[in-house]
Amino acid sequence: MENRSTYIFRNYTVETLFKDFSGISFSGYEDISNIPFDVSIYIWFYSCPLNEGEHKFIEKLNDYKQKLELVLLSCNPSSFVLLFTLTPISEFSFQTNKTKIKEAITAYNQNLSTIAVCRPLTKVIEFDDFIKCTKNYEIIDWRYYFMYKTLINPGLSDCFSAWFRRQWLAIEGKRKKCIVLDLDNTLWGGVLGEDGIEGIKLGSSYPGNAFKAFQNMLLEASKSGVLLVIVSKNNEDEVWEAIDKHPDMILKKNHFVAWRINWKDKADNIRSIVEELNIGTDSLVFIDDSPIERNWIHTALPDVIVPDFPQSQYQLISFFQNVYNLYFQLYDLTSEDQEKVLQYKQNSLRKQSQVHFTKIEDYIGSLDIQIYLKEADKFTIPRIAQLTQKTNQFNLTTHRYTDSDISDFISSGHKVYSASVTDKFGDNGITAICIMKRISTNRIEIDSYLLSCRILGRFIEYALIKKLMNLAFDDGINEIFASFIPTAKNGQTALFFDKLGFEVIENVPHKKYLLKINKHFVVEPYYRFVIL
Amino acid sequence: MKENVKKIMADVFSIDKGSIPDDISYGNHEKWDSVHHLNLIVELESHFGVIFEPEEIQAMTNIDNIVFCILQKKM
Repeated sequence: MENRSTYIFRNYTVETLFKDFSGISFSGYEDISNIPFDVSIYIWFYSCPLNEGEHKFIEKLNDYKQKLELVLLSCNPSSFVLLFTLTPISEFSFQTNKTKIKEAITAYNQNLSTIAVCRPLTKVIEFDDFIKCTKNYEIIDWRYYFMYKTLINPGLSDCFSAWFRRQWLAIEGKRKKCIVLDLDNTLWGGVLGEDGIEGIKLGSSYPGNAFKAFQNMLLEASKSGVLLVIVSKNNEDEVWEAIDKHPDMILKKNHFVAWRINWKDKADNIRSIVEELNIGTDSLVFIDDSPIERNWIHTALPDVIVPDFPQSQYQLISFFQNVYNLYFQLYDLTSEDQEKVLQYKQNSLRKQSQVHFTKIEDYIGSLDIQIYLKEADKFTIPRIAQLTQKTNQFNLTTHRYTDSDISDFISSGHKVYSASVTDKFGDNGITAICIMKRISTNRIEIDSYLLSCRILGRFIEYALIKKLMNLAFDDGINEIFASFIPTAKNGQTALFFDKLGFEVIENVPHKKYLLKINKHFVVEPYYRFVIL
Repeated sequence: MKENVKKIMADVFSIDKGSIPDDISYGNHEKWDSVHHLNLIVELESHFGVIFEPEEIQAMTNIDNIVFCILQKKM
C-alpha cells in the first residue's frame, strides 16, 4: 500500500478512515469527472445512500453502477481496482421497503463480482467484513454524519486501518502456509496416553463438541490450501490408532502433510518439518495449549507465529477465526491453492521413491517430467505476481511484483514466461517464472528467475533456464545479462549463474553476469518441454 | 492543558509541536483543514473522554476555544 499512489472514488467522507495511509487522493462526493491516470490503485468505496426513499435509493444504486462503468473505461488499465461492496450500515434506515432495497444491494454487489472476473487486477473487498469486526462500536456517529457527511464513525479509523491493511496483504499474497498442531488438549480434550481413546474428549457434548468444531474449521482451512502438520509429544502408534478409530475424529491421517509424533524437542521437530516440506519457518503458525511449549517455540524459532491458546474450549472458534483472518486470509482462492495440499503430499511420495535409484539422473528420468512453457496472459498474471511475492528460496533477484507490474513488462515488450510442471505424481501447476527484459535486439537481461520450492530437487531449474536461453537464441539474442541479489533465504542460488558458465562482470552492489551464446544448450531429453 | 492540546494537534497534523504558533486557527494554517479538524475532534474526544456538541465542534477554531470547551465539559 505504502509508496503507491491511490485514488479513492467515494460518496461520503472517508478521509478520516485512511489517515494512516499516505499517497491517497479522493474524488468529490459521487464525482467521477476527474479520473487521474497516473495512479497505481483505484478504490471504489461507495456506501449505501442513507437519506433516500426506496425508489430514489434504487435509482442511486443504478447511477453508481453506471458511474463505475465509466470509471473503468477511463482508468489506467494496468492499475489495481479495489471494489468495496455495499453493506447496509445500520439496522435503522430511512427506507421502508427493506426487501427491494436488499435486492438492489445484492444486484449491485453481484455486478462488482462480475467486473472483478472480467477485468484483470480487479478485486472485490467485502466491506461486510469490516462492519463485522467493529463489534459493538457505533458504526455511525450522527453528529459527524450531519456535519461532515461521514457515514463510518471516524473513531473507527484505527480499526479500519488494521482491517484494510490485512485486506491489502491478503491481496498481495503474503500469507502463512502451514499450521503446526499439538494434539492433547488442542485437537481433543484430555491426554491420549493417560485417558485412552475412549477417554479423550471429542464428540457431541461440551467440551468435546468444541474440539470437534475446531477440527472442522481446520479441515476447511486445509481445503483452502493451508498445510496442516502435527508436532506432538505422544506415542505415534497410539495417535494413529486414535485418529483412525475415534468415531468423532474429523481430521484423518491424510489431512496432515507431515508429522513428528515423538518425545523430542518441538523446535527440532519443526526444523526438520520445514526442511521436509521445503518451506520457511516464517510461514508457520504454531498452535499448542501448553504455554511452556509456546514460549519455547517463540524463543527458539522467533519467525514462527505463536498465538495465545484460548483458556476455555468454547473460545476455540473465535480464536481460530481470528488466526485465520490474520494469517491465512487470501483474497481469491486460486485453484492452485486448493491443489497445494495434494502436491505437498505427492512431494513426500517422491522423496520415498527416490531411495530405489542409485543415480539421481535415473530417478529424475523416471519421473516423466513435462514442462509447459507459456508467455504470461491475463489468466496467468495473478499467479505470476503471487509467485514473485511469495518465493524466497529459489529466487535469484527477489524482485516483488504486483499484477500491474507484470502487465507493464508485457506491454513494454519484455518476455514474461511461466512454467507448469507435471510428472507422474501429478500436476504442480505454475511453479516457475522467468522475466527476460529486452535491452536491445541482441541482448536481454534476466530480471527475475524463480522456482517454487515444490518443484526443486529435480534440476528443473537448469533445464528450464537452458530451454529459455535457447528460445532467446532462436530470437536473435547472443548476450544475456543476469544478476544475483543475495537475501537471507536465497543462498542456494548464489552460484547458479556461475554453474551455467556466466561470467561475472560486476561485484558491487551485487553480482552481475554476462553470458555470450553462439549455440543451443543441451537439455537432458527426459525433461519434455511443451510450448503453449 | 494548552500544551496537551498542542501535542495532540501536532500528532494529528503530523507537524512538530514547537512549530505550532499560539494563534493557530482553523483556516489560517495549511494543515488545519476540514478533514484534519474532524480528526482533531476525534482525537480530543478520545484523549479527554468527552463528547462535543456540533455547535462546539464548529466553535473550536483556535486553541483557546478548544481548551475552553474541554474545561467546560470537565466541570
